[in-house]
Amino acid sequence: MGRDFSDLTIKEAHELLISKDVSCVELTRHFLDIIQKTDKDIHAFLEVTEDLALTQAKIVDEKINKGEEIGVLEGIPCAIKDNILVKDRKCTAGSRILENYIAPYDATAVKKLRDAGVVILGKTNLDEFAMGSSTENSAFGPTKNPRDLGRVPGGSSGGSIAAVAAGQCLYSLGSETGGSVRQPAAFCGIVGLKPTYGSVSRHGLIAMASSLDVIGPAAKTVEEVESVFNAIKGKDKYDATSIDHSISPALSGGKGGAANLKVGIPKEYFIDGIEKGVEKCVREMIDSLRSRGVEIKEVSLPYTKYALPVYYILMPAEVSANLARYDGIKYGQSGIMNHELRIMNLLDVYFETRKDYFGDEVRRRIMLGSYVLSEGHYDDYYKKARKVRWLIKQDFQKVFDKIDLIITPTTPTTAFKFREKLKDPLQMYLSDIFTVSANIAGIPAISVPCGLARGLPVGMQIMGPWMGESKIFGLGRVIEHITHNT
Amino acid sequence: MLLKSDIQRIADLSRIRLTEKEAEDFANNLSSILGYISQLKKVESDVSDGQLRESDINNVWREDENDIRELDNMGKNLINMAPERQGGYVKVKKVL
Repeated sequence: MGRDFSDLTIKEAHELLISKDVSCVELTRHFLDIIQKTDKDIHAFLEVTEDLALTQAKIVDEKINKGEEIGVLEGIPCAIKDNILVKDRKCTAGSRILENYIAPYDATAVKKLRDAGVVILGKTNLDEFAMGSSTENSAFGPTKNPRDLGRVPGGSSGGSIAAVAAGQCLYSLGSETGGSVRQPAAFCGIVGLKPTYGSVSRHGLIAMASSLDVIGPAAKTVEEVESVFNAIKGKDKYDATSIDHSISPALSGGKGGAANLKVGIPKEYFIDGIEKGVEKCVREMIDSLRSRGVEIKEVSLPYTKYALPVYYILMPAEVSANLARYDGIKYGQSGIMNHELRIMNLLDVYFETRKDYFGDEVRRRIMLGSYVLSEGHYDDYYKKARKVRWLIKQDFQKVFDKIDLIITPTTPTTAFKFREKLKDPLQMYLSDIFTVSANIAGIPAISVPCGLARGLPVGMQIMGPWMGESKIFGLGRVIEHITHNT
Repeated sequence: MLLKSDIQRIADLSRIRLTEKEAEDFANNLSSILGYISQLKKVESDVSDGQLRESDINNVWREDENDIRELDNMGKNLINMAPERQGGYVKVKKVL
């Protein structure tokens, strides 16, 4: 008894289940125990859905005992970011305004996982409405980095990523708008994928910025992330921006595929201000790849320096529209419920609801969005940002004509300490400087661990062309192989 | 760059009520953020409105028929989430 299943990969856990070496209930209880023991320190979970997990596990055990075949994700315990709807369970988006909200339906990604036999351990912590890069903006307290409890796990999907890194689950779903899966994956030393925009349905993902949002899987290895991505992707009639994602079999599986790859290193990403240890790790990995026959070329993405300003115009603009629905009328917390307030008219309902239940960062971004969309500023800011967005996309189109993939550091630093970046929001925003371009252009990107700097994990980012996930997974596996053999 | 009065106007547009101190703090934050994002004004771009429309907007069509997915209780469940309701309706303050 007391076997440690936390180091298993999904495939290994699957083997144990089908050989009846372990039952799904036993496997699930193992992770529930770990969560019970460790989450008071880490706080990755906002809610542990023990009853749901055990019910799902029993169903899988019944199937196995009847001799039925089970899929590779069937019975594998996972965690879901608390801005992704799981039917009949609370979904707070890390905000007090939804602290009493019960999801009336499943997100499509969750429904697909249910069809694949998922075991859901719980809902994980996030920056409020996915706004932040450290999970410090959660209305329910921060999550800690399992690699160093005095440091942030990153954000906004800090809970999802920390849960995997702490061995509390085998994989998780997070979401990205500007790097919110890749950045924490880099900080905590695991693999996090931002899929091509539209390849995973946004139906049931609480909207932040609709032209940028995407659900992304996280796990310890590239292969596991790939299997979760394959389960959740697909065109969905409930998401008009979703696309049919056809994977070309070209480079999935095996490390041999890397020899024919042309990889670009964009000079604009190796700037002053990157932590020395991070740059060293990434450059050493680039050298290792070169020595294995990968062709490395310097490329240029000239509009890179405008990516963050474009992001901090387009995203708040869309946020100001998407968060208008939190008005205390249809669901969620409401000023109406507070009988001490003098709610005289409809406008009061809006003002009082949004004053009390939204945190600072949320209000900041809503106001920034209102400003850039307002009369006299719309052309200078919002319209301009849309044009520069087009130029950033063009940068990538030109480069991907000549090379297969792009490699950069995922983040300019390793995980920072709590409160280090809270005083100046702009400092916090700068931690996304290498990740936002992929969201703006809609291209897929992954963060893969590539070493340590002063004992903290360093992530390497691989960006690929639209629908180029298979190429990314191919190179990701090579990097993994190198890291494990060094 | 942004005055407290500018913040008050923006907060009004956003249906957010701020205290005096909050208005001051937000004015400072937002001024510095605006300073940063204003660098976009310098960017020369000959991207036409037509190109923008083409790249961003795709109309997605469906048949004009009822979607009967799990509809039985969905309507009732959704109405039941409203803080104030009456009969089968969401109740709101006077609009006009």
